[in-house]
Formats: sequence, structure tokens, C-alpha cells
Amino acid sequence: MIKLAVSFPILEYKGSNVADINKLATSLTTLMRKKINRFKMKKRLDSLISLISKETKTDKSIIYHFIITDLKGIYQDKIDIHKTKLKTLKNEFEQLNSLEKKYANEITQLVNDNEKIRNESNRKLNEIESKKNELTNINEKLKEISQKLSEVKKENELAEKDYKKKEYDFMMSKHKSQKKTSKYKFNSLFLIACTIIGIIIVLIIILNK
Amino acid sequence: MNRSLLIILLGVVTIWDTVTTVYGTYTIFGEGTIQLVVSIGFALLLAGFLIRTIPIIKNPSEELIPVGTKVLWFLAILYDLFTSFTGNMDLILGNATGTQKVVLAIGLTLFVCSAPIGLSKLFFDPDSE
Repeated sequence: MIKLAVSFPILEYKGSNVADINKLATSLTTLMRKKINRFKMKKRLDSLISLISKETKTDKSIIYHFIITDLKGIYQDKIDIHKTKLKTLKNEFEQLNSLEKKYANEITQLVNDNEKIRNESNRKLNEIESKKNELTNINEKLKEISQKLSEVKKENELAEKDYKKKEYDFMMSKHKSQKKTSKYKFNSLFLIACTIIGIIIVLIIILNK
Repeated sequence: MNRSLLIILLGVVTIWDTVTTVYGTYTIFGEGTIQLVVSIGFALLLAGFLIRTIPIIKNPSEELIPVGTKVLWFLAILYDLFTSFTGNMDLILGNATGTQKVVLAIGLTLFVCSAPIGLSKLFFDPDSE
């Protein structure tokens, strides 16, 4: 029997009209590959089947049956290959999809973390700003206190000077009041007498030298 | 110690300080009646300055005269230390010799020169009572 492989030009049949059959098969294959002019394709196929039928003296329906079976097998194989490829692709797609989901989750997590960090940093910044304001206030208060302190120091210095003056005045007034006492008068007289005696002594010393 | 007795004691030492000042000044000025009179006058002035030590030092005024008086007081004490040292060396420690004489003279000088300041304290400072 004729064995039609995946490509029509390979025919194992060896008869008198092999050249014609091959020519028709080649032409048909070209048309099928180009996928154009279905009418012409059908006509060529009919011619080919007629020629094979005639050559092999077999009924056309049988040739059709074999060709269809063969074609079915060929396309079934192709379908199977495509199915396998599709399955692989599906698996890859699913893997990629899961990876995408995983990455999406990770990105979401990162975004959330980033948001948290940003919020935290904002909070810290606000705290720092608040502390800065507090420090500024404290600094201003310190300046005020320092100013007041310098004023108080000045007042204190003035008060101290005033106190010293009063103390001095008190001391002098007390001394003045002491001058009136008899004890003071006696002491003064004694000292004057001593001074006179001293001067006499020194005069004697000097004049004797 | 009795305050009056202390005044008398310090007064006597102050007089001796004045005597040494007269002697020291006269030694510097040279012989002559005028020099002697000036020496006595200068010594009395210096004694007056030193007896008024407390009012001079404690005066809180920052005007020219009180501040100038403080400067003069400082010069007076330096001059007094010098004349007291010379006077004590010549009049008291005439027979002593060497380092002993100098040490004794320094001790006597410090003792004698502090007497008018102590007297001033007793006279003027009410806290001394």
C-alpha cells in the first residue's frame, strides 16, 4: 500500500506513473504550505487520488480513507506536540504568574514598609522640629534670665557699694561720737605727749650724733 | 586685753615708728636745722597717714582724692618700712652683727610698722570692739 508520510513528496510506491504522482504531490505540498487557493488544492488532490487509485487499482474511497487517516495522524501528532508545548507554556505561565504574584506581594510589602518608614521618619522629623522649637524657647528664656541676672548683678553691685558707703559712714559717725568720750580724750592726750617725748628723744639722738 | 591698754601699747610703738621715720628721713636729707624740721614734719604727716589707715582703705568712694589717698598710703607704708628698717638697724641693733642683725631688723620693722595700722583699727573700726 501507499504510505503517505508527513510530506507528500515521499512516496514509497514505485510504479509507472511515479514521476507524475511525485509532480502532483510536490505541487500539492507547495499549495498546502502556502495555504492559498483551496480550490486548486482540492483539484490537485483529486487528481492525485485519481492517479493513485488508477495506478494501484484501488477504490478512491480507500485512498481517501488512508489519506484522511494519515492526515488525521499527522495533525493529531502536531496537535499533541502543540498541546505539550501549550502545557509547558501554561506551566511556565503559571510559574511566572506565581512569581509575578510573589514579586507583587514583595513589592507591596516593600511599599508598605517604605510607607511605614516614611511615616516614622516624618514623626521623628516632627519630634525633632518640636524639640528644636523647645530649645529655641529655652534659649530665649535663658537669654532673658541672663539679662535679668546681669541687671540683678548690677543692682547687687550698686547695693554693695551703697552698703559699703553706709558702713563707712556709720564707722566714721561712731568715731566722731567716740571723740566726745573722756577715754578718747585721755588716749589722744597720751599719744600727743608720747609723740612730743618721742620727738625730743629723736632730737637728742640726732644732736648727740 | 583692755582696749585702752592696747591703745597705749600700740601708741608707744607708733611713736617709736615716728621716731625711726624722723631719723631715717634726716639721715637721707643730711644735716641741718631745716632738714630736721622737715624730717619731723614729714614723719608726723606719715604717722597721720598710717593712723588713718582704716578710713583710707575702707573708703568706698571711687573719686580721685580717695583713690589718690590710697595710692599715697601705699607709698607711705613702703617708706615707713624702709625708714623703720634703717632706724632699727642704727638705733636698736647697733651692737648686733651679720645675718642675725638683719633678721632682727626685719622682725622689728614688721612689728613697728603694723602698730599704727592696729591703732587705726582700734580707733576707727567699730567691729574691733
